[in-house]
Formats: sequence, C-alpha cells, structure tokens
Amino acid sequence: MVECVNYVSQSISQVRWRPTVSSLEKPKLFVTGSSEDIDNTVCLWDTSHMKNPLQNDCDDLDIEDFEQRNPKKISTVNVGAGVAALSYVSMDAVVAGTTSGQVKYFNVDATQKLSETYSWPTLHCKRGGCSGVDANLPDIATVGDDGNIHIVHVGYKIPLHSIVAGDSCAITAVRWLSTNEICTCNSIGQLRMWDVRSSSTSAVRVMVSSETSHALTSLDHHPSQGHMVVVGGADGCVTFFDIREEKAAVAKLQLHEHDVWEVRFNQQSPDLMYTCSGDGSVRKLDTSSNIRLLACNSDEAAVGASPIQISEVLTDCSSFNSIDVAGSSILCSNDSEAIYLINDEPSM
Amino acid sequence: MDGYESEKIQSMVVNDRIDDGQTLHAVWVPNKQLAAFIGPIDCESGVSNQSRDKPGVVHLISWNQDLYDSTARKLVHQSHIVFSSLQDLKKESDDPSYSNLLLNTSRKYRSILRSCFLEVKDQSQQQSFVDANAAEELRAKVDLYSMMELIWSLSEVLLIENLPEGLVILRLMEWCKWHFPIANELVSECTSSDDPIRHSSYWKAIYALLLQGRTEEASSLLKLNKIVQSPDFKMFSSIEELLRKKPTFTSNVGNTVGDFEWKWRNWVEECKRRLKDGDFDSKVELKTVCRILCGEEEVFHELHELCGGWYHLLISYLYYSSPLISGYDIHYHSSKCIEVYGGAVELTSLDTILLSIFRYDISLVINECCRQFTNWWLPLHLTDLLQACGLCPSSDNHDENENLRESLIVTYAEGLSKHASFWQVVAYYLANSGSRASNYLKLFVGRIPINCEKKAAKVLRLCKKYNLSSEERSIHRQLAIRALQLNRLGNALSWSIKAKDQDLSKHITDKLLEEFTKTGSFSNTGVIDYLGSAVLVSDRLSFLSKYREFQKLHADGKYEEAAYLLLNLLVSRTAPEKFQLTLMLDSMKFLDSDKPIYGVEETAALLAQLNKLQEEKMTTKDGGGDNKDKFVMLRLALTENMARAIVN
Repeated sequence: MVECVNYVSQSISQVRWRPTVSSLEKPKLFVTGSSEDIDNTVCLWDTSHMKNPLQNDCDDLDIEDFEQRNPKKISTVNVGAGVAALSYVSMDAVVAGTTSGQVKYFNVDATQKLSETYSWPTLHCKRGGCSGVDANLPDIATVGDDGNIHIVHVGYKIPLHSIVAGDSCAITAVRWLSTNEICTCNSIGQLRMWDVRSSSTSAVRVMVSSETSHALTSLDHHPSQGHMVVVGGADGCVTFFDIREEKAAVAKLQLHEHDVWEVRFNQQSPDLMYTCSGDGSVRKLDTSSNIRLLACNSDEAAVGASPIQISEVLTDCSSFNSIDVAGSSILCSNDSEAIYLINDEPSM
Repeated sequence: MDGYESEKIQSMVVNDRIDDGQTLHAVWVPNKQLAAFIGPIDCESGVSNQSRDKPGVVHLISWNQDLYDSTARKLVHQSHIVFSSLQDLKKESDDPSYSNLLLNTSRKYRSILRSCFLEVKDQSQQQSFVDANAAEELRAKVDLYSMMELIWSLSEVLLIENLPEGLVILRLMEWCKWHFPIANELVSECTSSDDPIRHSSYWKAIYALLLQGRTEEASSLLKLNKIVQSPDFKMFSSIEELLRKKPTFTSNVGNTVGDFEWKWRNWVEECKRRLKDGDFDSKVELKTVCRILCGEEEVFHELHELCGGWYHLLISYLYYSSPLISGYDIHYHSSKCIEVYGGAVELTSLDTILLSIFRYDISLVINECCRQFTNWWLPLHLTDLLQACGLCPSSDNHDENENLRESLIVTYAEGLSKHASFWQVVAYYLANSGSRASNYLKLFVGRIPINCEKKAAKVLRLCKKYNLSSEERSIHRQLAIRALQLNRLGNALSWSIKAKDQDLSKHITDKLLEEFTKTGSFSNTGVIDYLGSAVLVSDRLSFLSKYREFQKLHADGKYEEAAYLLLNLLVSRTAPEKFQLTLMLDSMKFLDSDKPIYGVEETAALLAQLNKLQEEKMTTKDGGGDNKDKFVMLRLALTENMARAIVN
C-alpha cells in the first residue's frame, strides 16, 4: 500500500474522485470541499503528474520533488460557508451543499476550471444547512439538518418535490435506491425509505438500527445488490440492512470506536467496503460471499459463517472525515488538514 | 512579559472618511482584537443620537496572525501530531531506547521546520516576479523559518544529543556544513570554470572547505595543483600528506580519547614543525593552509569572512585547536570570536539565543525565544522536548517548570484559538497543559461555535474524551433550545433526552401535547414512537408514550386494552392539567357502545375525576365557560354508562 500524505492548509470535509470512463482507468482528478474557514472553497486537484513516491524520508528535499509528490490544485471556487456534502453528478458536474443551507452546482469546463453555474441559496435552513446530496440524473436529492428533503433539477429554482419536515430530526445522509426511491438516515438511528413520486409526506418504510438511538452518520448503497444498504453509526458500528426485510437489520459489526463518518462501497469490486472514522482509522471490509449469506438467512447472521475480513488501511491520530474509492485508489481527508492517497493493490 | 522596550511602534491606517467633529475611537473586544470606528468627538462611547445618511463601519483590527497563513497551518498541524506522540512517549521513560526516541522526535520537528522553510522559499521566489511587497513579506518568513531551524538544530546537537568530548565538535562541524553553504558555492564556482586553479575563488574554496572540516575535499582540490614538473610539487605533496594523515576521532570501541589525543598531538607537532622550518614560505596560500591545520588563532581571524557567523568561526577554530573539547567548555572561547565580528554590541537576537545555547543556559534560551518570536511555537515545543529529556530549566523546582510549561501552552493555544480551524489542536494542547487543564478546557469548549449537527457531534466527542460532562450537557441543552426556536419539536426532544434534562423534556412534551389538542394529531411521530428507554427521563415523556400506545391500541381495534390504559392514565394524573379534559373526552369513545366496557367501579372513578376536573376549572380564570357543555355531555354519558353497567 503506497501512501502519499499532503498537508493542504485547509480542513477538508469532503473528497470525491472524478468518475472515470472505464473501470480499468485510474482516476486522475478529485474535488475537495473545505470547512472551518471563513471563506471555504471547493477545489479541483490533479494527480496525473505524480510519480510513485520512492522514499518517504529524504534528507535533502528538492523543491521539484515536492511538487511531483503531491497533488496539484488546479481550480478553486469560493462557497462561503463550510461544505457539508459533495458529489459528482456526472463526469464534469459537481454539486455541493453547505452548512448555511445553500446547494450549488458547478461545471468543470474543458480547461479544467470549476465554475458555479447554478445555485439554490435558501434550500435548507441557515442553521445546520444541507447535510447530504446524491444525484441520479436529472434529479438531485438534498437533505438537511432541518429534516427537509428536496428533489431539484438544474435550472429550476423551485424544487421539483419537497418533503418538508419529513423527518423530525436532522437527516444525515441520502442515497438514491432507484429512479423514484431514496433512502435517508437520521440522527436518532432511523433509516427511512421514500417514494419521491408520491405526494405523501411520510416515509414508505422506517427501519431502526438498534435499541439505543445512536445517530446514523453515513449511508451507502451496494452497487450490484440493490436491496443491500449499509449505514455507519455514531457508536462505531456498521449496520447492513436488507430493504426487502421488514424491520430489523441484517448484520451489525463494531468496526470502529467512534463515529463512522463515511462508508463507501468500491464500485468496481463491490465486495470491498471502506469506512473512515473519528477514531482516526480507515478500514476495509471484505465481505465476499458472506453478506449474501447474511442476507438470505438472517438467523444465522454471524454464527458458522466464515469470518468477514476486516483490515486496517490507515491510522492517524486525528479523525478522518471523508473517504472515496475508485478502483484501487483510495482518497481520504482528516482533521489535521491532510489528504491521503493510497494505492490499495490487492495482494496476490 | 510586560514593559520591555520595543524597537519600533507598529501603526496601522484605518481607511475611513472623517468629517468635522468626528474622530477615531477604538475599544477592546474579545479575542484580543480592537474594534475601531469613526464617531463624534465629544461622545465617550462614540454612539450618537443623530442619524447618519450612510451606515458606519466597524473595523476589527488584530495582530500576530503569523500562525494563520497556509504554511504555518501545516506547521501547526504537523507539529501537533509530533507533540501528541511525545506526550505518549513520556509515559514510557523507562524504555532503554527512550533517548533515541526523543532524538527522533527532535528530528521530526526539524524536518517539519525544514519543509516549511522550503515551501516559503519557493513561494517567495515565485512572488518576486509578481509582487515586490508580498515577496518582501515572504522573505521575512523565510528568514524566520531558517532562524527557527538554526536554533532548534543547535539545541538538538548540544542539549539533546549531548555527545561526549571528541564527538561533539564533529557533530557541530556537521551542523555548520549543513547550514552554511558558502563552501559549496565557492567550490562549484571554481570547478565549473575552465581553469579551476587560476580561478579567483580557488583558494577561498579550499579555505572554506577546511573551515568546515572537509579535509578530503580540500585535498582533492589541492591535487589539481600538484603538477609533477612544477617547482611547488614538493610543497603540495607535503601539504597533501599532512591532510591525509590528519587523525579523526571516531566512536569505535578500539579508539579511546587518550589514543586520539596522542595521535593528534603528534600530528599537530609535525604540522608546526614543517611550518617553522619554512617548508611553505614560498607559497603564502599553502602557508595559510598549514596555519589552519596548526590551529593558529590569527589565521582564523583573517579568514572570518568565509564563515557564516561567529559560531561558525568558533567551531572551526576549536576543531583544529582543541578537538577534544567538551560541549560545556565551548562557550569560553566564544567572546574572542564575537570580537572578530564587531563585539557584543553587534549581537543580534539570534546571536544571543545561540550564545545561550552554547552556555547551556536553558532558561535564558527560552526567555529570549519568547521575547523575540511573536508566536511561541518554538519556545513551547523546545521546552516540552527538553523537559522530556530531563533538562528542565530549573531541575530542582518542579512547580516552576510546571508553571512555565502551562504559561507557554496557554499563550500558544490562545494565539491559535482565534482561527476557527484550529479548535481541535487548541483543545489537545489545553488538555495537556498541567494541573489546571480541565478549567482551561471548560472555558474553551464553551466558546467553540457550533453551526451544524456534525460539528456538534465532534465537539461532544471531545467533551466525552476529556470527561467534561457538564459542558456536554450544556451543549445538548443549547441544541435543544435552538431546535425549539425553529419549532422543530422532535429534534428538540431528542436533544433534551440526550441531555437527560427532566424539566426541558417536560416542557417540550407539553408543547407537543398542546399541538395535539390544537391540531388533533401528533407531528413528530418519528421521535415519539421510538423513545424506548428514553421515557424514563421525565414522567411526562412516559405519559406521552403511553398515550401514543393508547392511540395505537384504539386504532388497532383493541378497545378493552385501550380503555383500561386510558383509565390508568386518568387516575394516575400524569397528564398536564390542560390535557386532562382531552383525556376525559377520549373516554367518550368507550361510553356509547351497547356493551359497556367500563364497569361500575371504573365509571365511578371516572365520575370522580370529572368532578375534580370541574372543580379545578371553576377556580381558574376562564371558569367553566366553553367547557360547560362538554362537562354536561360527559356527565350524561358517564351516568348512562353507570346505569348500563349496574344493569349488566
């Protein structure tokens, strides 16, 4: 596992790889969103010039070496309040939600320059703001600390569909399950499924992750098994839900000690799932056949099944806020204003 | 730190228009800032009753912002990581490799300083083509970083590594080599030319190399001059031989100090003899080289321009005159070297600090660093490391050391706390400041701005880590109140449950019940239905959850269970007063069926409740006015039920 650590003088709250055309291609560009500054920014970075770092401790560092070992910032846009949610909508469009309730849409033009092309300034309330975005073109779903869900289209000021106060508590993440279904998780441990085409303001289904109401902080949807949803919680547990089942979770694993800030499935190899947490570690879960086993028969959850492999990818002393995975390249950012680039080649 | 003379007074211009009768006012505001504004002269606070046609502007002036630029942020965060690993390391002081680990920590700090230095240097080079002012500022920063690195590396060599005699001077020579590239520049100048021997820098290069103790390189440069046919051949061979035979001290087991001393003395004698014999008289430059090797004082004075500073001269001189000197004795020779450079009056602040390091006067070093640097990064981290090495400024007074450490940490943290992104770093430093750590932490945590739930979660995690339970509770309550202000009752309730605040939960639950009486349905069922064990926080909450249960039972058609639950709720009087009537009215649902659900005793109890309720309503201001017909209706229904019940 090759690492590159880059201190960027900004507290990065979200990192996202640019989607690649083919799954064999290594991702080259990524966007970051910062928080905790007075003027926060969304930046586009380039890693195509980077050579593999040969040695980490070189006594006589050359300035050229410096530049070649670190990603280069190629474009910056000012967004004001901290970025709480960031997502690539398509190959050249990014949507970001800020803590002051604004949702902004950016385009990357041919010269690799980010520019804001549309924004919804008052979509969520000023205090708390937007906490999650997910795109399923042409729809973009946004959720916020105010418990509201909005479905917007670029170019239209008014949201196409709004579920106001759909959730009594703050919603922490959102994912599209299909063209008209979304899934959200909130700060008291509940998972809700919504049908955006219907006019009702109540959830289609509500699922609870545990008896105690620990907040659910992140959400992801299995790329190939459409019924499988995984949530990360504030107690360090990662819970798997089968949305075909009625209420209870399928499996619950204690992967971390503190809040699991992000869970991501590897789109190219969906058996691998990565999590990053406030306890300063990034871990990889290799589920292989086990989740299918778990999904089929929830009674035999962990008994008798071959052990699920959990391996540690990275440890640091400060909390990891965000992680993104594309192929074998892992990108993560932490509270010490550093971005880590890891090449997680599968060991033969 | 009060009342010392500053060399210049800093001033700043506030760009604002002043009309007649107005002047500039300034007041102190929190976070060590000044708020400046234009206001009328006669008014003390600057507030006037006259309205102005354009709005006034308040300027916030702050200083000591050197920790907020992009390079300094990297310094702060990276050094925070090293600092925290050092705190963990201190607990394992019995480990045999402890001193090595401390040395590694020092090297980590140095490498961070070096990377910052390189970055700022690169930036200043780029800026010099663009903006002269900015380039000037960056050059000042470059100087600052190189100064810090110089101080740190010398402290590392003398104070932390603390090598024995013989080795210390070698290490100091390496230090000179690393920090003063003058020899490299001269060598590259003359070797890059076509005829190195006749280049003007040739001899200077050789002297410079010798002054940095690089005898082999000097020898190879000299070899260029060693032409067989030339008349000076013998001299060059002679000097080459001397250079080759120079004994070097190594820390191998076979060599002892005594052995080396004997060898060295012999060699110096040989050099002096050849010099006296006049072997090099015909070539002045070679004579100078030999004089250097003999350790003659005057020649060092002559060559002082080739040294980076008095400290370089000092080390070069001692390298040749007394290579077995112990670290503690070096400073005795310093005054002579300082004289060469203009004497004590010419000493800059950097020189003073370096001199104190040579004197092993740690408290003076820290003191001077605090005086000269606007932010206390260097004194804090250096003191912390030296304390870990056991070299506290006053080794017998533990309290004084603790106080020093605390004041350094608190001042540094205070400087960082103005910038929002450093809050976790500040919290860590404050938590490690000593006996009063929890007090400082409590004060700081209360001032961290929370703008979203994710940030709140992080701050709460911090409170849990440092056992700040009252702050944790206070944050929960603040978030509950904020949610209440936005009329998000469910969110408010969930926060007040986390705060385990009985009164606040009761208040919110009452609001929810009020909403129910007005609208006829509960709004935040997402929270209410999933309370679980949280109902124990307040009696009102348990009432609420039971009432929801009642509603569900009724909706499911389980009338008998629902009826008895309702009766219990009425009799137990856990409902708020305003809600009692609603409960009674709910009982109506069970009173008009043909088969009475309530028996005689139950109906009697209900009637008793009704009486009580009516009495209470009579004594309140609005009397029984609107509710009179409701009471009548209830009474009628209850008596009918009683009748039916008696009959059955």
